[in-house]
Amino acid sequence: MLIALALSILFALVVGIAAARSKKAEAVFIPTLDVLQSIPILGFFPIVILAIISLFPSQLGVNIAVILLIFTSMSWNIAFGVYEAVKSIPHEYLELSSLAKASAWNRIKSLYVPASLTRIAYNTQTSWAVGLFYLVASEILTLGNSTYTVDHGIGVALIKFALVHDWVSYTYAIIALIIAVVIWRFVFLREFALWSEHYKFVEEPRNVHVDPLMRFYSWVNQKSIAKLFLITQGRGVNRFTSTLQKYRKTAKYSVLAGVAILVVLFFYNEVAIMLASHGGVALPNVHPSTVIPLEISVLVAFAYSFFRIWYVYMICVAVGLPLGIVISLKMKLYDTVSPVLEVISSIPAPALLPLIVLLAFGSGEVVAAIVIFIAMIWYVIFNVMAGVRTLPADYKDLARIFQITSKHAWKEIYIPSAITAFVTGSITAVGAAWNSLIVAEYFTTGNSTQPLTQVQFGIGKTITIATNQGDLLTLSLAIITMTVLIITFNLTVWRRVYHYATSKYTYNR
Amino acid sequence: MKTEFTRSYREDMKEMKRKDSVGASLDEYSLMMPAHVRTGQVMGLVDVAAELGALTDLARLADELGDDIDTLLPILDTAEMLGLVEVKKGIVSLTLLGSRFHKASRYKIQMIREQLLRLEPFKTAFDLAAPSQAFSSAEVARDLSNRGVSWHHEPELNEAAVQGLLVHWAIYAGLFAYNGKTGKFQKPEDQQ
Amino acid sequence: MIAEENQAAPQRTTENQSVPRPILTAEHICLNYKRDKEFMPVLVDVSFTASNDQFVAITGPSGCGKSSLLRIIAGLIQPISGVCKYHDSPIKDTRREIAMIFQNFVLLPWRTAFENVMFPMTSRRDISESEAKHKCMGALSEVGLKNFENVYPGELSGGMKQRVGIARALAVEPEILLMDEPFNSLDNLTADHLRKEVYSLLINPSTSIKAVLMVSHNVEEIVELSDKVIILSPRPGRVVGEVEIDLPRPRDKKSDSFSNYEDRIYSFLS
Repeated sequence: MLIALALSILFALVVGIAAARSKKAEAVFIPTLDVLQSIPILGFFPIVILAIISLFPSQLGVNIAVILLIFTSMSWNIAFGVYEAVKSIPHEYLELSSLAKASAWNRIKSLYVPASLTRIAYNTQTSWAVGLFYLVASEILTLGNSTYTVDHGIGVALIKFALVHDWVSYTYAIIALIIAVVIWRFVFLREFALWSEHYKFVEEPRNVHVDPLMRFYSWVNQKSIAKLFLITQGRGVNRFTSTLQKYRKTAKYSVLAGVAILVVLFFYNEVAIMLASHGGVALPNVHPSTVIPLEISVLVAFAYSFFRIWYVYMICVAVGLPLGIVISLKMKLYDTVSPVLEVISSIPAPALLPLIVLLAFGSGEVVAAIVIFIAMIWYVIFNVMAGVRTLPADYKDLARIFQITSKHAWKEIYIPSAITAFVTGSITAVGAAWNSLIVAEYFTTGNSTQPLTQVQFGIGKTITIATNQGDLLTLSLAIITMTVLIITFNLTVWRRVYHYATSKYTYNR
Repeated sequence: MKTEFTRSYREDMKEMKRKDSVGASLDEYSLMMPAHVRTGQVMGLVDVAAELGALTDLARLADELGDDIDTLLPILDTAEMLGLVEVKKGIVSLTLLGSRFHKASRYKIQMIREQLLRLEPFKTAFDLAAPSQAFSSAEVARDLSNRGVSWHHEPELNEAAVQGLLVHWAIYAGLFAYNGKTGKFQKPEDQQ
Repeated sequence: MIAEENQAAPQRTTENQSVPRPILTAEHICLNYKRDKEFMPVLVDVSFTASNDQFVAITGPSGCGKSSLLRIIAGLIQPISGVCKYHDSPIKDTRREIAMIFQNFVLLPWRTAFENVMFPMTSRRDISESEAKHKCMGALSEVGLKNFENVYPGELSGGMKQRVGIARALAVEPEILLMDEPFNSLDNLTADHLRKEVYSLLINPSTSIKAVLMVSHNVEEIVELSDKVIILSPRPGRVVGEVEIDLPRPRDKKSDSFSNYEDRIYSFLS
């Protein structure tokens, strides 16, 4: 884990600094990073595993694969942070260093690195959680392919305990995980973040209560979304999105058409199965076990996952939005509850998987829903909390002085104030949901290939099975389809929603 | 940029006076109101000029208000364009209209409707406001820039400048009604 | 064409020459602020009254607790000891008769000017929608923003936003109006102009307002507007002076008596 972090930071520094200082590097790196960042890690995961394992079929190989994957999940974010930090160094400092004829190494050491430290620290915090998810997931997953296992790892331990129904040890392991995470988070990461505050260029008034968690959740998420959507100075992706602007109407209709097609596919499959089971109707059945066009089955799987994510999202909204608002409105509640939430949110979902399976009475759909929910809910809650916290206290006074009823205050003040943050959180949450599918939808364990839990159809399942079977064709098809569709959706739908939310619902004084 | 604009306005003003004296038509001229001046500022300026009386020079004005000359000049120009003050040899004095304006207690801006309509973007907007037809500031901005009149070379910023002026002056003067939801202006109901 | 109205500001009514009955009293107000388990006194033994048709200013160096005092009067926070009374009944919570205008306007950016003024009315059951609408349109007209009903706050200037804030307060027909540094966020010229209108806008026979309390640190504005000035010491805030200003309106800022009052207030502040 630490190796991956170190690699990420190194990579980030190299790329970020290069991009910030050289126009040519900028033009190449930034769009690439933009795209790489929006590809769900799900896309990298299996390819990397297969590739590395075929190169190094041994313990080392597996470890490398795991490290590389975590690196993937963390580095883009940190690289962007470095890039931004270096770009925003006040130009006086740059002039100073060239006047002093500082060598390149000197410059890196005393200017660029310190400047980037804050960003690195904050980005590390989020990336860490993500990395942890994949750590546990990858440890557990590689176990599924019996030839390749990781010898040591918490994921492994958890699974072993669960398999033999050794719930006592399992609980101990979970508690150990929680303690480790908490200590790491609160002691090291937070200290790292606070220490790096020394290196900021901007003076902030001392009595501002620095709440690193809130800061980085809202800020980091906003920044990554901002890179994805907002227009900045002539980046490659920008040109793409601005041409997309011209075809806005067509884009809108094609998205609608796309969704319609997905709906059709979804129902087509259901109907086909129903008809088939009621005896001999000659409809091409889209069941994966029969011979059907590969592309269609992949699309069907995608359709299922698509709708699955959206219904879980509705649940997240119904739970997260009000909860986030309520907690942030009352100071006392906020102070007691948010550390608890921080701790709970650091437990990666894969670690809890055996527990979830037990709770869900073995229903694959419920397991998937729960895992996706866990992956999404924190982004929604924390972002809403951060958004409501920025509401000036005057607005609460306004509601009291003018005797506004609670219902009206919510409808007119609190919910609208949370909307921008909510949208940002939603965008990240849905992204996280796609990434979680690989664990949510299909999960094998033990030496058999009999899955512990699975859903009927889903792209995560498709990908995992393909990986396990070394079926490169299906795998690449699935990944490409998913990536293209997701990126298109992001650029068309999310972008407009975000723009609408920021233009109408932000405070301009 | 503000001072640059001011200089050319003063030249325009001189030209206009000269042409007035030979009876030339005002249509040939497009006097532009500075983009960022607001009614409250002009009203405030007139008040201060009235209070300071005959001793108002630019330096004194800036002193009284605690603003710098850069901020003050566009406001002064606007007041001059609207016929509320006269600036002779650096001394600011109220015109008769300015005096009446100062003494009025409500709906002051309506008093200077005529003066407003001589300035852009109000002139063009008024022409565009055919009865019960709604128009947007974008249309006004485009119309004007086609004739070479613009506040900014970037169309978005130009439109924003026009929008700001229309909202802050024209509505106050009762020239148009505005619907924030559609973003369109039209003639107020009592004049349709 | 609109006919010019050349009104002088309305005179303060004095029905009988006896002592006016206080509408609002503050009696020995004390307030502490808790930080890191320590209690810091913010206000100590603050007492004063506000009577019918009085414009009272509360001033003092920054940190003296004047904004907190205003919030106690509003009923937003409770003092540690002492009590504020509205017509002899203690103020324990916010009430309809006491409205407030904020330094940062506090408008809802996603609502039009009209909807912002209507906002307090939407929660009330005792008034019909058409009547509420009528009051709100009237209030907007009073502050000079007729025709601005459908404009969003984002498109309004600072002065206009504050006027919407004033209209919102006027529409609920309060008896006491509290103002928390209302001109602080406006540029000089706009603030100058709004100040001239504010007195006649707020204290005149046709409004329900009987007293105005304004927190400010601008001595000139205080002398221009107020009948009585309460001056607080630096933290913890105690009343160190009370000045009654008896100048005819409209007040001439250049006159000697005006400067005298300014000097008197400054002397308390140093």
